[in-house]
Amino acid sequence: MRIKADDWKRALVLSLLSAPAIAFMVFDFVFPNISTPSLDKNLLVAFLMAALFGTPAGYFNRRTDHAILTVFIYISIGYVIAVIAYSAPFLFYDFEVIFPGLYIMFFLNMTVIPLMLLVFGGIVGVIIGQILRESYEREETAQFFSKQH
Amino acid sequence: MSIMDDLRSRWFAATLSIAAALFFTGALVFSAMTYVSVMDARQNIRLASAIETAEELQNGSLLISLTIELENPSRQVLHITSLSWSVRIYNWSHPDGALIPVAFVYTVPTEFADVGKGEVKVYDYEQLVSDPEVLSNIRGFINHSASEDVDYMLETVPYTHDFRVAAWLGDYEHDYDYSKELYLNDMVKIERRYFGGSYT
Repeated sequence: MRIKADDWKRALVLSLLSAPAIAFMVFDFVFPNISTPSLDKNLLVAFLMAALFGTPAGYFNRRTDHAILTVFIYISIGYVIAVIAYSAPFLFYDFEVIFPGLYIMFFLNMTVIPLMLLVFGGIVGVIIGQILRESYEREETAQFFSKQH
Repeated sequence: MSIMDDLRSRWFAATLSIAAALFFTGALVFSAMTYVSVMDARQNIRLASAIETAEELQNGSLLISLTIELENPSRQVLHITSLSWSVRIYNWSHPDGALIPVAFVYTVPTEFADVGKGEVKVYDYEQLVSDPEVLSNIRGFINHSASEDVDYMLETVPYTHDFRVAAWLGDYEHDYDYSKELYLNDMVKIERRYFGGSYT
């Protein structure tokens, strides 16, 4: 798989569309009682949302390998943003760390299963996105030729 | 075709994606700010300005009281779940460190006991101790102390006040399903104590 500079740019722009939702879902999975609107740790909803937010990666990417790479990139960016949100009181304000011993381990432990689900949901979303794109293009072509005759 | 041209030509899907991204960015920022506010409340809610009094009445009874403030400078409403105040005498000279109970009040407050944002609530407790058994225990302690060259009167006995308050922050109490979620309640539970002159 050869990735050009333009492909990286595409992956980055598409990541900006999907990463906020991933960041929110990961944060919400750790603190469902204080986040709004909460998915309440419902893994099925998290999976469906992940598939929904994987759709743009498939829809705006012609190549499947690039689309899947985009999924990995936006999940990584989303996860990093979620860690920043999780650390907000301690990074940006002078508050005491609530779980000092296992601060990051606690976060990883809580989110490892949803993380895998987000990757899987993202890949399913890519497939849905590509089906939508093909359907759209088929319709566009049909309309183009119907105008010609 | 570059990504920008692609987004322009598929403007409907692009607009939906951008709208969703903005929505979730807003939700994340709002939730993170709530988290900051909860941390602020955990750190700054405190008990303060305790005033302990003990007064001997003419009929020989004891009137004992405690006034204490609960300060909530945070942006969260505090839903009080329990309040308790007890007064005891710790008889350290006793081999088992015996306790002499003097007064006890426990209340499960109603919704009216909420402490609002930036509010200071004053709790005023007063109890008349007239039970002959309790009074005789206190006098026994006074006599025992006198035998050890420590002179007390009914008003000057070292009464140990123990005031405890437990509360939830906002409406963030979590109806957890299994033990792995206990941390959610721990995060939004506030427990403060005034014991023997110190605040924890």
